[in-house]
Amino acid sequence: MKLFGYNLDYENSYQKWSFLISHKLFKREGERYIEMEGEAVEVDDEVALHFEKIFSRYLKIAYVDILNADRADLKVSVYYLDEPAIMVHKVVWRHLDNKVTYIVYDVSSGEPPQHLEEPECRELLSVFGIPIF
Amino acid sequence: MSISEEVEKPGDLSLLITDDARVKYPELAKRDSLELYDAVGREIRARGLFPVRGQDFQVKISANPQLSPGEKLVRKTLSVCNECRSLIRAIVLERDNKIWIRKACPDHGVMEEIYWGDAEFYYKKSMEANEGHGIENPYVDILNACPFNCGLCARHRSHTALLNLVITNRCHLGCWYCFFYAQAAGYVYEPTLNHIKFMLAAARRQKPVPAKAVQITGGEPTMRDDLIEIIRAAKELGYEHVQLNTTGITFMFKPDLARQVREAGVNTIYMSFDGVSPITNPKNHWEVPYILDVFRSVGMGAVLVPTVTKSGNLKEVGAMVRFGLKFNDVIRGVNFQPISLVGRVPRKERERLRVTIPDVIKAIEEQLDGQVRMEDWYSVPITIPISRFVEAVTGKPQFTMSNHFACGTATYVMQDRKTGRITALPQFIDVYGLSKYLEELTEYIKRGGSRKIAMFKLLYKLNSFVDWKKTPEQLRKRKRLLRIIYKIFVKHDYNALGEFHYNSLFLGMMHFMDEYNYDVARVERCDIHYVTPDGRVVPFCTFNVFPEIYRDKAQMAYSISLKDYLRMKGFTSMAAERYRRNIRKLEAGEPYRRYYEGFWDPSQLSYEEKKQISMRFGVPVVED
Repeated sequence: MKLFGYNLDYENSYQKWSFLISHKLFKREGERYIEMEGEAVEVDDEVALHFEKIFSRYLKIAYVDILNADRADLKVSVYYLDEPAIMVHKVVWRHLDNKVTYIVYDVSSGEPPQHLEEPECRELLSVFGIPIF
Repeated sequence: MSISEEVEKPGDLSLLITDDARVKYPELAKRDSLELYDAVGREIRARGLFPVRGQDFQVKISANPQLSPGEKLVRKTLSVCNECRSLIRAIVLERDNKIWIRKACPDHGVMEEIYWGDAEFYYKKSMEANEGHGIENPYVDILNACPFNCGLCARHRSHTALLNLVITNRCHLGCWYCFFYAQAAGYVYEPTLNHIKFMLAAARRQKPVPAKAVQITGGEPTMRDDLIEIIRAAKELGYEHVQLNTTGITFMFKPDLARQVREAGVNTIYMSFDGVSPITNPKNHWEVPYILDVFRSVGMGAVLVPTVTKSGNLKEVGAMVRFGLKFNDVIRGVNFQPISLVGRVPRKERERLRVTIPDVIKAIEEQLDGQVRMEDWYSVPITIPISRFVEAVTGKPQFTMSNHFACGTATYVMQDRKTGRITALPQFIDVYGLSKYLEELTEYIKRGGSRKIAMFKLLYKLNSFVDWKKTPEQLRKRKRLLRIIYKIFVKHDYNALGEFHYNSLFLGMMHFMDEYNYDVARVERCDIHYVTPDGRVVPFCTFNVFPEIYRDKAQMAYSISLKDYLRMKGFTSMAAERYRRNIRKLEAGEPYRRYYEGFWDPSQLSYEEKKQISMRFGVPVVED
């Protein structure tokens, strides 16, 4: 299975939005979930489309907004794995007084990502023994 | 009997589905329901209607267009290649006080097109940008890159502000440039009434804001015998505003139809009107006076819609505004559309025809001696602070017009009944000031402020945004203007806008894109959508710029061949349904002289010249 994780420092005056996305991937090893390091990759259309599939519904941005933005520092990591894993993206909404939300999904479940507030995410991740960040 | 009735019969449904779709739903004809139309739509979509990468489109975003010396980058974006129509990278740049779009295809090189004809005006309008709601319940999953994933998907940033509903591709005209009408397309597309109800319902289910306005269009919608039932269906499904897009010609011969259309619920007619002379408007120049008289007699308002070209009617835009003002009792607005060059158009031809929003606005300013200035025009999203304020007060999501600022501008003009002077609304209302104040009040409410106090503050300050000395007489009397604004903001009574329209002429400017100036950032914010027969909602500039993927492909899957239609009707050709005009008779009538006096002198052309103009355009001429 091939996955992408995104770190994005985004500022767009058209939307008057500013946020910071960071991510961590936790793969299952035995009974535990441990953090995995990815490899840096260049942005291409596959990466862009994957970003939109995960984020567009919640962030209301698409790849063209990243191109359009006043500032969009996008760093992408690729992961190759066969084990179950939990992908967690943290969003700090700077234009909303630094409100924090999380986009979380179980990569092997096929279920769509969930967009969670901090307490809900903490509770969800605690089931897997994953610390919130 | 119309085609819609004939194909309602059991068994005829198979005619509606092409061999390519290979779907037979005979039970649908017997007991159709919205759920079954939805099921048919999903099935047909899965079998080839939805765009497939490699088959219907390509993505080639490896090449990056570069700036040349003396150019300034405005922003990066995505566009489509003029040659292969693949998705490619583009930049919007400034050069020589104009805005251009430059794109790079790895296979076909660098291409460039004018984007906006005035950079200073572009930057001013960019300050009015504002983002919309989008929709919470997308119609399709994200499977492809935009714009090959319509619609609407989770990327889309605007709900449907205006739904276009194509009810037929039959037409009584044969305009030379039209590839859509039945004769040229080779098939007849005419969904049944029940199918139309499904399509209308599809846009009504949007959240948080369902579609509230629909434009019934074609082809020529008055060709349908069940037009009244269609209008009623739209009203019954909750559409508050219904427009009818028509040449208007049918109403000349069937004035009672105009009354029926009005009574069924059409609020406004959208009528093509490319100029005040037959040279600029060969489509319906001779008929317009009679059509407008019919509309006046039944209390129907019309918005005139000129398609503007540089070499054609740009020189008449001022005259069109004056025409609208002179007959403002029936003409509610003039909505200019700078030409969209869809299809293969060589560069030299594009340069001859191409005109952008600022070019048309400048021409209006010049031709009206500065009475309507460039700074009187605002981009459509300037209205969003009003919606946001009402949302904050009511706690409910509101209708917003959130298309990209570069897509359209508008203003209102009034002619003082005493002095004849033309005044634009921003000359007596501080639009920016009011907009900013509404944003402040909205923020105040969001941060816990009292809604009642916010309303009092607005009422208290409203007067300060109006320069009464410059307000035209008809709005000055008994502070009528303040009453209208009060109704909109305090009572949330949008019918008050209609009262405003009766006292003014709306001037709009809507520039639909083509493949040459295509900007994906604009299409993702488009709020003028079409509904396809399979139940998708697709932005205007995707539906029409990629007809082979959207419009024609979807409609063909639900059509019958021209041959089958002719056989059903007992016609030998579509000429049986074509309109033929009698130029002499039309010019001899009193309405013709009354409407065009001061605008066009018919003696400027000989009868033969007028006949040739009409026939070259595609409308045959009869002598008796």
